[in-house]
Amino acid sequence: MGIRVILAMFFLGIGLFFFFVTTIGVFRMKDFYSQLHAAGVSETVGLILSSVGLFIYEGFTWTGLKIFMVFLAVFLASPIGTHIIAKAAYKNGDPKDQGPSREGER
Amino acid sequence: MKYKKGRKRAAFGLMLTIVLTAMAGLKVGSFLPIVGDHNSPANSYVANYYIIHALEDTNSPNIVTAVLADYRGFDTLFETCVLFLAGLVVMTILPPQISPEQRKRLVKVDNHSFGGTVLDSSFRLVVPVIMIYGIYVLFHGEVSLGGGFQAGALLACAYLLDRIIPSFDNRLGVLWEEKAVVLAGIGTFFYAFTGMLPMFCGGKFLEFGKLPFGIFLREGTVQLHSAGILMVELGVTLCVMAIIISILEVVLERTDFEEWRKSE
Amino acid sequence: MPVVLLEGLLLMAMIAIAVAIIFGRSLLACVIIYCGFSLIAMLLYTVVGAADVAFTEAIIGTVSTVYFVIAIKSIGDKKGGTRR
Repeated sequence: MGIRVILAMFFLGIGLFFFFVTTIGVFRMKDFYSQLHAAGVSETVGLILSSVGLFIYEGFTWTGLKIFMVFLAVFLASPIGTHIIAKAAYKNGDPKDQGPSREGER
Repeated sequence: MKYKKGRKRAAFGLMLTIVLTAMAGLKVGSFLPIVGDHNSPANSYVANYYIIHALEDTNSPNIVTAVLADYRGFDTLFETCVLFLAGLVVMTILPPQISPEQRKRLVKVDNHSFGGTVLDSSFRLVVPVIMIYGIYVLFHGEVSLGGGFQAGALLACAYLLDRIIPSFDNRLGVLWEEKAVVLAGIGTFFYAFTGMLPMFCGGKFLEFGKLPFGIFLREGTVQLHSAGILMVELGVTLCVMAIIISILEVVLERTDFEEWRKSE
Repeated sequence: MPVVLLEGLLLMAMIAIAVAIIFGRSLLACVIIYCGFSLIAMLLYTVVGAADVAFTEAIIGTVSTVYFVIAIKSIGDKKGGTRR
C-alpha cells in the first residue's frame, strides 16, 4: 500500500463524509430551501474531493483525464439543476404567504 | 374514510401479488442455469464461437455490436420495425389536432423562458456537446460502447432540451409530428435497403461480405462488414430519434401551459 | 465474494425502491422514485459487466422521466385520478 493509495483513500473518505452530511441534512431540515441547501453540498464539495481522490489513484493517464472531464461536466451542470428546482418551488408558492401565486402580485 | 380503506386494500393487494409472483418466479427459475455459468448450453457452443471469431469475421472489436448488427442483424431489423410500428400507433391514437394550414397562421404567444438567464445561456452550451457526442457514439459503435440505439436517444435528448427550455410555443418548423414519423420510416427502409443490396450482387439478405463497395477496399472483404454495420446503425439511429421526437411533440401538444404563462 | 455482496445490496435497494413506489403519495413523487429505480438498475448492469446496456439505461431513464412528468402535467397529480 504505497503513499498514493493512502492519499486516495484519505480524499475518498472525506468525500464520503460530505455525502453522509448531505443525506443527514436532507432528512433533518424542516424547510424545503434548507433541504436544497444541504443537497448542494454533495454536488460540489463531495464531488471535488471524491474526484481528487480518484485522480490521485489513477495518476496522469488517459483514465485520469476522463475522470477530470466527468468531474467538469457534473460540476458545471449540477448547480444549474439546483437553481431551477429552487426557482420552480418559488414560482409554485413554496412559502405559503410569499411568492408570485399570491393574489394581485407579479 | 371509504377512500382511505380502499387505498389500503389496494396497497395490500399489490404487495400480495408481488410476493406471490416473486415466489412463483423463484420456483420456476430454479430450473434455469446459473447466470453467467460457463457450462450452460448457451455459453458453451454459440457464445464461444462469437467470442473467438468476432474480430476476424466482422472487423469489429466490440463483440456486442458484432452480434447485434452482424450475426443477428435480422432480429435488429425487426426491433426497428417494432419501434416504427409503436410510433405509428401513437400517431393513430393521438392524432395532431391542428391542421397544417392552421399551423402556418400560428402566432407565437409567449417569449418567456422558464429558467431565466442561467438556463438560457447554459443550455446553449450543452446542446451542441450532446449532439457531437451522439454522432461520436454512432460512428464508434464498433470500437467502444455505443451503437445505433444509444446514438438515436442522445440526439433526441438534445432536441428535447432545445424544445422545452425556450418558450413552449417554440416549434422547430421542420419536425412536425407526422413528418417525424416519416423520418423513422426512412431509417427502417435504409436498414432493409442495406440488407437488399447484397442480393443484387450475388449474396444473401444482410450478407455484408458481398456489398458492392469493392473499389474502396484495401485489405480484403472483411472491411465491407464495417461499412455494412455503419449503414445499419445509421438506419436504427434515424428511426429511434424520430420516434422519440414524435412522441414528445404529440404529448406536448395536448398539455396546457396556461398557468405557467399567467405566473410569468 | 465482494462482488456478490455488492449485487446483493443493489438488489435489496431495488426492492426497497419498488415498495416505496407503491406507497408514494402523489404521481410526481412516484415518477421521481422511478428515476431512482432506473439508476439502481443501471448500477446493477455495470456490476455484472454489461456496459452497453448500462449506457442505454442511463439515457433512456432520463428521457422517460421527462416524458412522464410532461404527461402528469396534463392528467393531474393525484393518485387515483380526479373523477371522484
